[in-house]
Amino acid sequence: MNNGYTRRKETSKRLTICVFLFIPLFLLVYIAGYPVLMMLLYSFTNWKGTLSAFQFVGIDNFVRIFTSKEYSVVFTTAIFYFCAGIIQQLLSLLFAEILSRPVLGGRVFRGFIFFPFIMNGVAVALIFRMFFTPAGSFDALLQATGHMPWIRLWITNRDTVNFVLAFIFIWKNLGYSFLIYLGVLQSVSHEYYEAATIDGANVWMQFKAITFPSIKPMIGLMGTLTIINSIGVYDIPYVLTKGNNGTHTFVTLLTVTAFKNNRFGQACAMAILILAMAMIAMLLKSLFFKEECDVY
Amino acid sequence: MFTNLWNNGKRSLVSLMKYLLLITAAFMVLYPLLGVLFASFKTKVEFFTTSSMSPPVSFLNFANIITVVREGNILQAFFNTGMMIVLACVISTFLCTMVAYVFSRFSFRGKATIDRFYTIASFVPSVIVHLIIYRDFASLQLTNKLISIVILYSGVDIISLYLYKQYFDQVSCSLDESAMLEGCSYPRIYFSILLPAMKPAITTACILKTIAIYNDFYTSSLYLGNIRKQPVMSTVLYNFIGVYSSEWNNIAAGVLIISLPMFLGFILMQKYIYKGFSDGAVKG
Repeated sequence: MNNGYTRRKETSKRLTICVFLFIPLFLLVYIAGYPVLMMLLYSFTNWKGTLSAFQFVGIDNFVRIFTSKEYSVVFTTAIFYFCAGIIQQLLSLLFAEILSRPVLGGRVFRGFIFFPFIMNGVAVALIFRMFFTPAGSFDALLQATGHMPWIRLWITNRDTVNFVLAFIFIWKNLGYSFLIYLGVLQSVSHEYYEAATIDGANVWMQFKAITFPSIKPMIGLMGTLTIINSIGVYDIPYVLTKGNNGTHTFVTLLTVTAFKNNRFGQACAMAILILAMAMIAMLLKSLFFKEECDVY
Repeated sequence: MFTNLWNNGKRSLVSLMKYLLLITAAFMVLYPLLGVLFASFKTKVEFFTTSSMSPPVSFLNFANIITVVREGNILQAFFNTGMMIVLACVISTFLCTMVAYVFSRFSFRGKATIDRFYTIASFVPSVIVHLIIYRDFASLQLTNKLISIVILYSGVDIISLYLYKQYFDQVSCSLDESAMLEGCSYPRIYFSILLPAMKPAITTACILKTIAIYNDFYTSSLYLGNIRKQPVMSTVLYNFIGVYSSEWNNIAAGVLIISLPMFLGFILMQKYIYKGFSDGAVKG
């Protein structure tokens, strides 16, 4: 009798596992597995996105990304966003360090710094289109502070537009890394800092000896995110410039290549490249930061 | 005594610097927003004749907001976006907790493999998969229907999965066992004992999902490109650029309206939102 109970339990367990995993696994395969395999296949073809036949073209699509002038711009913008990402990390660390200790109005400042991160990307792009438009708020600020000669066509000028976009990128994303660092820093006991102050350690020494070791494991994660984010920018350049004036990112150009020009094979090659870069970033992170994480 | 004075002076200098930095940051965030807030209450003539940083004549001039709400189909868009959020949250909560439950409570063949697949899948940037999926959805007549976005956001994402797994591991297995002895089946244990115990984790995961869907522009513009069929917040706002090409007072009103729900939600649920993003980052 006991045997029958165990067997029934076993059957019920198997059934539960199958039923519970069926839909999620189907979605996993359909949304992640299957597209990647198909893209890998199509990236070596001249597929136009229709049902019509396609030819294999070898590695032509990949070669084109690295050699054609059309695509060189995405590497430039990726470097812009990557640098912006590093500045973002430093700034967010600075503000997290300040706000991790009791500060008058700290909660309000925290809210101000964080809120842009959860704003709609289209809204942010439009806000800054009005901000940097001729005679807009930014020009008004320059005028008020006596920097009239600096005024120019910020968005339509090829030389300034990528700086503008990098600035918006920092403006919007600062809140996230700030919040993460803040959480880590707040978990560090205040007693360390008090003891260090009594021993005569200055702010910089305290940062080096207490703050930095505690955030070290987080830096790996944040670095990976910085790399992945610098490739994946879409909303703001798309709404602000539509990729004109040398502002195309990997994703905006991929979208245009596929859905406007119907060159799906080429777009798939770009997608595979994006995937490869994301994978490399993840691998680097796990290589360099594994030990620290375990010790921590 | 001199060292004391010197130290005090230095400390207040540091503290002054701190506030200076904080105020600069707050100004940098608020200043661009202020221009938009002002513009949304200005008439067209007023917008072009006054400086963008001068306040509007009247903050009670709701003409732009009314125009935008009426012509832009904002109410429909708001309803649609809300619909997508509710559906995606409900479905993904069930799917994610089911996977987490199975992972946490059972050991079976292939478990490690599936776990690894989820980790690998989390490396795949979600923007690229649409090259393939969009074609399929189009041939299945799913585009320009809200369900397309719901399906895309219902899959198990690694962050929710990790949150739930952590939570299930905290709930003692002895609870399951005693329920088992009472004759409860596995699904019953999951539905009536464990799921209610997961409330905090569910809140966190749903907040993250809500923000993601509300702000999503890439997938919305791709799958719901025809805003006459199923308008959502992002696509409606994007469409304003064409409709009101130079009427920035109207566009500003649109920006204000789309930002308002997020702003109110943020004020009301600050604590949960902060917690959500912090918890979500632990796994990354």
